[in-house]
Amino acid sequence: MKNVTTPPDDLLDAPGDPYAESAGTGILRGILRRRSTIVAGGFLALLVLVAVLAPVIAPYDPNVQNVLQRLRPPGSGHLLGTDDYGRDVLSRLIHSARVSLQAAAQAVAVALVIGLSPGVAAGFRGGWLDAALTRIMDALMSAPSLVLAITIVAVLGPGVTNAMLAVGVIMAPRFFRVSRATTMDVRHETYIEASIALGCGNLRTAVRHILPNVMPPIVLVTSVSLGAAVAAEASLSFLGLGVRPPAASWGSMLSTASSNMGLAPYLVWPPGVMIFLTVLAFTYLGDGVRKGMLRSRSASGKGE
Amino acid sequence: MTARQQEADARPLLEIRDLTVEFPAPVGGWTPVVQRVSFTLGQGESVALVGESGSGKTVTSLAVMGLTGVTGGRVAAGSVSFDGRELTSLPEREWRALRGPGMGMIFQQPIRSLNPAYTVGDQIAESVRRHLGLNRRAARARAIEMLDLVQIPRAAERVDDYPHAFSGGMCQRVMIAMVMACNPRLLIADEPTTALDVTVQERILRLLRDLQEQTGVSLLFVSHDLAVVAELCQKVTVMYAGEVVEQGTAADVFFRPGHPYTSGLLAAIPKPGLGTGRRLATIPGSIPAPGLWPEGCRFHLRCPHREPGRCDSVRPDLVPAGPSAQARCLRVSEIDLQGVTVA
Amino acid sequence: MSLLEVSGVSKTFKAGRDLLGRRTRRPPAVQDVGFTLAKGECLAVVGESGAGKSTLGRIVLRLIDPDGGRITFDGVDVLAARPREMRRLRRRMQMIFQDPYSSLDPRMSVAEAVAEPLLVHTDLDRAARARRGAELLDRVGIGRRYLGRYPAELSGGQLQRVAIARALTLNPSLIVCDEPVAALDVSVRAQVLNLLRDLQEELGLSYLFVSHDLALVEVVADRVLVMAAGRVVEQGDVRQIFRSPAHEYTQRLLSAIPVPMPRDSTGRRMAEGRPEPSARSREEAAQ
Repeated sequence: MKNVTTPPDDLLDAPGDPYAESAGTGILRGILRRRSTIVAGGFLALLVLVAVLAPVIAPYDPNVQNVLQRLRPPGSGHLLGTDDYGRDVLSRLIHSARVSLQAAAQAVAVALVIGLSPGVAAGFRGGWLDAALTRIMDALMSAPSLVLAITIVAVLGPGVTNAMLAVGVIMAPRFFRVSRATTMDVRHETYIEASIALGCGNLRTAVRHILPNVMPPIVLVTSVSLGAAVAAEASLSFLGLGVRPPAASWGSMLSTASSNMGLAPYLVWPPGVMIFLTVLAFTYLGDGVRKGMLRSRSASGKGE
Repeated sequence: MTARQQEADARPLLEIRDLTVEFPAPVGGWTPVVQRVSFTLGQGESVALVGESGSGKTVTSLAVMGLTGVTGGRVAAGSVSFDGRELTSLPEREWRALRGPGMGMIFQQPIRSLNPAYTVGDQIAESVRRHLGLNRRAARARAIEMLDLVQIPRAAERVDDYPHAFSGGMCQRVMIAMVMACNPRLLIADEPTTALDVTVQERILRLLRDLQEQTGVSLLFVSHDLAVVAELCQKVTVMYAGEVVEQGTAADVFFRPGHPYTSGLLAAIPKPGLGTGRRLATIPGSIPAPGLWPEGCRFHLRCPHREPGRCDSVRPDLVPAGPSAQARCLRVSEIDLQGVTVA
Repeated sequence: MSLLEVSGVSKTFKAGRDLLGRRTRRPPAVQDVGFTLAKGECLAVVGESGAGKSTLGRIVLRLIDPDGGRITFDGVDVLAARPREMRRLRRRMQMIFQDPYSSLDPRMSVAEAVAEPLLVHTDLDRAARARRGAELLDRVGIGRRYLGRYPAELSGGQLQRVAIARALTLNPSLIVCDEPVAALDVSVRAQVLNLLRDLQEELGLSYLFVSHDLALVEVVADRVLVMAAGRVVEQGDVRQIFRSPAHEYTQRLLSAIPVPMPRDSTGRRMAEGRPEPSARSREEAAQ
């Protein structure tokens, strides 16, 4: 063996891996693999664009009343017709997209704040903190959600922001549960033990090592919750607890439509279809993201 | 050569020819993971399939069990014949009749291979009732008999225990009992002792040897550990990067390896009793993943004997490398390789 | 002078409760264990699964708090250290884990992982941290081109090298190696063991080397501690343990190590009678 020259280890490391890609792009590619996800994502992107550009693209002012043009069916002049105050339905629909998306984002943001970090803390520390937080969230979850929302709105007064605060509180336990369970899984991984052995403090371990690994399921819950929040906002506005007139949201438009059902049945369709499509798109997007993440993890193979 | 062995040579129990198995590539299409693997296993023989992770040894053994599809792959070419019967085109219904009385498999994680919801007796009884058509009472008797055969003490009492009441080594014995209860002709063992302690490993290996003697079952032993293989197998097939790089009798492969990879693996095994402070011999680099196999000889990047301009461009074939051995090396007759030496 | 002194350490894990809510009892994981480790020495802790060897390694680093006993690291009472003090101590005592696939955060690049100890323990700026990280990767032999990669893109052997680099970042005096090569392929195992030995020599490191594989232990260790069911059954110089094991359990462990020597059909080991240079016979066979 002596006359054999052994090359150094490094020289012979595996050549560049053509499948190698950073974790981020791998997930993105996994997500974009599915056509339903692309369609859902595209629809939502378009919706956001419409919401942002609402004042520019809406053909009429959504709140200007024109009694002479009441309840016109769809056609020339008013593409989707007019409502019982003679307001252009298309313009109201476009402006409503803004209200609905903003409301959904508010609700989910509230839920994230209330649910995520307590969930991580409960899962990471365990013990009495976990027991206390879990009790609170269980109590929140067991309360009937619509009643809870109506109570909160009754106390704080009607309006989209208050309504969405209520919806966010109701959704928080979902985020709490997912982040707590995932944290408890991740907590037992060797790399968490390794980071403690290295001398990382609790905060650093939680923020730098646990949180990023808790995010994938949270992203899924966020997406599905956005859809649910759109529907919740619509329900509350339908009941008159959400957006205040004359501003419109899809829910309040539906409410207007239902009171004019006999005269103008066509009014139901635009907001109804938008709510349906938006909720569906968020659900598909969440599902696609989840599957994409699973796929990119299994493609990298090891680790399991 | 004994009479038994001559009979075995006459018609092998298992014959794999040019087997190619592919798996979906992450970027679409199919990547071969096992390529043109051939070997035979005679009646009553024990053959080792040796390789590191990524060598394709487990994929090959799963293909023999007809489980390629379950794991997401496909047999792209080649044939697997068992007792003269072609298996690659066998319909699933016939497979189910073959697994059990024909061939059985034990795995690396014995505890995970048993269902925690049933007693070990029920699990053994289930397979014999289905495959051998025994009634409940006879199946239970068979279960006790099998637990006794795999040397579980107080078998008649332990037959009603659940898997969690058994240690890892005992679970592996139960798995062996379950597989052997149907009198299979071929036992495939995929790293059956890797998860176990050395003293337990020793006893399981002895058990497998005893079982072979008593029942004449043939054994396909899949392992990464040449030292373990030496305890059990008469023939050895070494795989690297999806292909067979060397095969022959254990004596040939261990004492006169024909492939630098085999020689390197043997040198890398620490042998007790040789004193302290030695540096271990290493094989530099690591095994390339499927789809990243280099041109020419797949081992050339890590080979201390490589010849530039030849090993990196010419695909070697399996060539004779001894009285009863073959090696996939271009320089087989030019280089002198070290095998194990008597301590 | 000894770097690490451990005496009378015991640990019994809290058990769960059974269906009636009674506390179930568990046997102690580690019972009255004591040893010393000198500077630059490698002490192997061997035993079978459940012997308590991994628990012992974690107790030394206080990843698990023992029920009782005394641990002194370089004159400092480890068990009395407050959290802040403990974090400072951890600069000098590091750990390498068994499974390289799970001991690195999957969402941290190699560069971040190797430089993290510096971020936690020093005021070095980003550039200095990156420089040190690259230096360490060179030292463990995987090269700087892996700096931007993520764990999922590396092989087991490469990951274990990254884990070693990470443990070395702060120039520790003690590294607890918990089965550092058990999850690696045979051909890679020897590379990592040799690396650990070279580093020990070069940097004067002390190792507490936890392993179930006695064959490896003979190569790396100076002294051996044999554990069974939480207790030390034998302790001594590696040569003496391998040549004349005193305890029956140690003898059993040693005799169970598989030997790469094939057996003939009767089950007896073949002794290779003719160590002929085989090139010629192969040439003949090839024709």
